[in-house]
Amino acid sequence: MRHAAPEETPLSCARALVLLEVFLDGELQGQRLSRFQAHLRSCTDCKGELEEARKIQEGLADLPTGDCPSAVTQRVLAWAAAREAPDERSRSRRFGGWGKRLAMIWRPAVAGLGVAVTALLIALAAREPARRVPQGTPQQVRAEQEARWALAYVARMTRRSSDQALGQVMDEVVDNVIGGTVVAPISEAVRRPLEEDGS
Amino acid sequence: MRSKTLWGLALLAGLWLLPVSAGAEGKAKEDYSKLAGYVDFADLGLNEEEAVVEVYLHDALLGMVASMSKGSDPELADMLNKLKLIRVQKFLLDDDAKVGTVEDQISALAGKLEKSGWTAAVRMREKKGDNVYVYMKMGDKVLEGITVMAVEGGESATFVNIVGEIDPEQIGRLGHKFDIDELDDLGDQWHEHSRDQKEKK
Repeated sequence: MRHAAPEETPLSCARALVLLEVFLDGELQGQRLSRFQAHLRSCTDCKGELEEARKIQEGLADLPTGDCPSAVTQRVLAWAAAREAPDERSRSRRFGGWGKRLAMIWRPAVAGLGVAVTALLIALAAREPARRVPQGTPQQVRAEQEARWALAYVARMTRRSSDQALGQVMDEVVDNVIGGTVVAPISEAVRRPLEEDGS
Repeated sequence: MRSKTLWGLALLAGLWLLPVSAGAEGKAKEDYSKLAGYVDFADLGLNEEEAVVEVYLHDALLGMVASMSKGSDPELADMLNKLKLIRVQKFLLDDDAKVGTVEDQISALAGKLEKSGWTAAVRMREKKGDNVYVYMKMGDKVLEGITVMAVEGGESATFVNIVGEIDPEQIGRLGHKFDIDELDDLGDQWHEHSRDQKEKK
């Protein structure tokens, strides 16, 4: 069987829309570019999409990138610096002599609390069912992953297809069974009075 | 005298190990194409070097994986122990023409499979660029092979061939169990890998 060469095959609108962004970025080249351009010559819809996308791109590029006032920048930097490294003196000023004494108490307390929380987390983790940790050489672990992938893929494809088959069966049931016994009498019941009114 | 004895022992040990390693090597090089459930994707005429995913797990490796997963997943181990080969090939389809070509080739291979005793479990032709074929090779009592040929989203073609003693129900069960974790995670990894390769080119 002879297949059309790529340059002869017209591009679908869906494919052209995928390539649109690539074209605007100037990355579309060779046969793909010529096919894209040929499609635009014959498709006004895609040409319109391209114009829209181009306008958006230009609009975004034209957006002003104003500078932040220096006073604001300085205030933000000062605030961040104060948060990162709290000044020991300001803390003493706030708490006076008590500051140091409190610090002597709360630091060990916080450290103790940290240890307790860590121990609690470890205990909770131990209660969780052990998660499966892959063992073996990296090649074996990889092989196991790949085998699982293949099995999952086969199962997914088979299931997807059976879902679709079920969908088709349901469509047929609706068309042939429910359509005939339920929908048709109802539509007939609605249509007849309307026709009588019209006459 | 003592060194001679040691050399002799080493030689004996070497001779004893030789058939073991030769056996393993021989197993890895077994001609799988003679197995009933084997499908030669080379018939599709695709350039195998262009595959973005290439998985080839022969029975020696599958046996090792089975013994590795025996404790953690006995059902998987049981299944892998009975398999001879798992092959996966995935190709990216650059344009519509390629999609059409590959679909025609898949359709031709499907015809060949049917003539050679394979049964179509699924033939789903949704639209151009979205087709799935699942074929099964029945043995006397068990399934001897499954093959999936799928074109998805007009972007990629995936071919899977599982050869060996297969229990379809087991595949369904295991596949369902792995679906979310394995398929998506590894699929993403492969996708990233193929993208990296493309960027390098």
